[in-house]
Amino acid sequence: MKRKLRGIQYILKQSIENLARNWYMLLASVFVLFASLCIMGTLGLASVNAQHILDEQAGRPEMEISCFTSVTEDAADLIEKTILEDPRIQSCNRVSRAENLKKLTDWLAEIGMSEIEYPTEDSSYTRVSFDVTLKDKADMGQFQADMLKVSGVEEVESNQTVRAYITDLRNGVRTGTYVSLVVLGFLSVLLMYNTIRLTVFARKKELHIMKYVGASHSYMRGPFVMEGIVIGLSGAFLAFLAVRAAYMYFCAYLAHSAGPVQELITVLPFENLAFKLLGLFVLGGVITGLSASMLAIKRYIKV
Amino acid sequence: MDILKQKTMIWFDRVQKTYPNGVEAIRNLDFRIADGEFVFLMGASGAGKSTLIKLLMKEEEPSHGRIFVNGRTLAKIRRGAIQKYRRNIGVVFQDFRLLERKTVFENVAFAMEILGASRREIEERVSLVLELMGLAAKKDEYPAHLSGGEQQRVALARAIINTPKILIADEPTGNLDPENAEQIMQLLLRINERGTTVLVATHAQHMVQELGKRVIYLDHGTVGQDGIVQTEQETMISEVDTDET
Repeated sequence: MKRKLRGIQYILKQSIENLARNWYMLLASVFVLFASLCIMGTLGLASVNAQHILDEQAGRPEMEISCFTSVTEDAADLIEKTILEDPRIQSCNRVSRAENLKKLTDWLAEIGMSEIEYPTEDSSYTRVSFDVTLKDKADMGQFQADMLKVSGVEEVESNQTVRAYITDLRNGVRTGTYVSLVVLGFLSVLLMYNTIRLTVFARKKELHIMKYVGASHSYMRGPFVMEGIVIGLSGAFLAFLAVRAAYMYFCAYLAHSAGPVQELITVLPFENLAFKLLGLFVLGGVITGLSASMLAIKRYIKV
Repeated sequence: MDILKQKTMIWFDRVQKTYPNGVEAIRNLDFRIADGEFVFLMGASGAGKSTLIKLLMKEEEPSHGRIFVNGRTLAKIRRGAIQKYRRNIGVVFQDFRLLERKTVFENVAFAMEILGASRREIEERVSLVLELMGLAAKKDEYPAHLSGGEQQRVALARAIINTPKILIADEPTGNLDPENAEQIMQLLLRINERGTTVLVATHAQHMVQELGKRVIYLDHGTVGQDGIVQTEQETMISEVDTDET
């Protein structure tokens, strides 16, 4: 037991010495892994959020007809009648000012902005809207144009175009994530492999002596495996912090931006993703580090 | 020394080694070395000395034949157990192979450290072996500040620190002046007297003749001659005897 502990102590000590010996290569390796994970992490988060937006869109009505806030309940009744009389309509559901206010406050809470002071009791600044489903999706364009001509209608939103756009975006981001996973993963492994290879060369004499004295495989290889793991973990943690900062900044930017952007782009709170992201970064870093050190060991440390 | 009565430590049983490039380094090599024996390995460059040592260290595998060390067939040693096997063998090289950034003490201690020895064990054993090698006063010096002879003594100390059963010295005096070479040979003899089987690969004919030990002379990868060389004194005595008769 004591011997094993001394072994672990030795491996740790040697791996620190290895890292200090080639600190410039260490920095380069950590930086490349950091940059790779940042890119992959950003793309991954974009993909997750695009899916989130799509899921949200799926739960929304096919078409939303919104009235001006100035439209009275009587005027809204007239608009509803006009919609219902249209033969292209399959269903129409009226959403009151109070319901729209509740939807707004729920959404604010979801994006972590509940602390913003909205007059949650006063629904007068919200509007009446209609969730509409058409019998034939091909009529959507014409119906949209016709509805905009109705007095009191402020906007007609169809989520079909939005969904198509976000789906394309999500697919593009996913492809980008996979491509970057392969390209940047390969680059990271290559650079880390070179770093570890340099350390192996620097310790060639020691390794030679170790081999002849009969040092165990773990004593010979352990420091290099540890070196890879340390580089991997350092890159992972730094990338996590950087991506976290960027994401928080983006959330804050979205919260303060007004209009359709804020309405359309609903990002998941970072807390919901943090654990998973950190786990994936650590796993990615360790796998990259281990692959690089194993390759270098297999190639340059012959027992 | 009657070899036949003693336990065999090393046995090359009709060993052949042909490298992938077709070079036949060892041809039908067959000899035994008894436990506790002191043997010189001689031969011209390319005669197969280095290959023999590599085979013994299990760095290379024979193409044909078997090698036994301390009763074990080397072919049966699993890859994972090679390092454990090597702990039974100490090696000294012509170029010393010391770690420049470590002191004499640390160089010797390194061989124990990497086998997981405790600090106390290391302190005790290293001090003892450095004393034996006459290096106690130099324990805090770095290799660059030592003479060739002293460096080789450090290498020797490192080779025997884990009390191996066999000590292989590959041209241990090749880089030394006669005085230092003599000292190293005396140390090797002392190590042998303590029961370690010693195999010395050398070109130093005069030294071999001076010590009167068994010599295996390799010629193109096979045993050219194998026997005990008479010391210069013995040769002179036998010459006088012949003259008198």
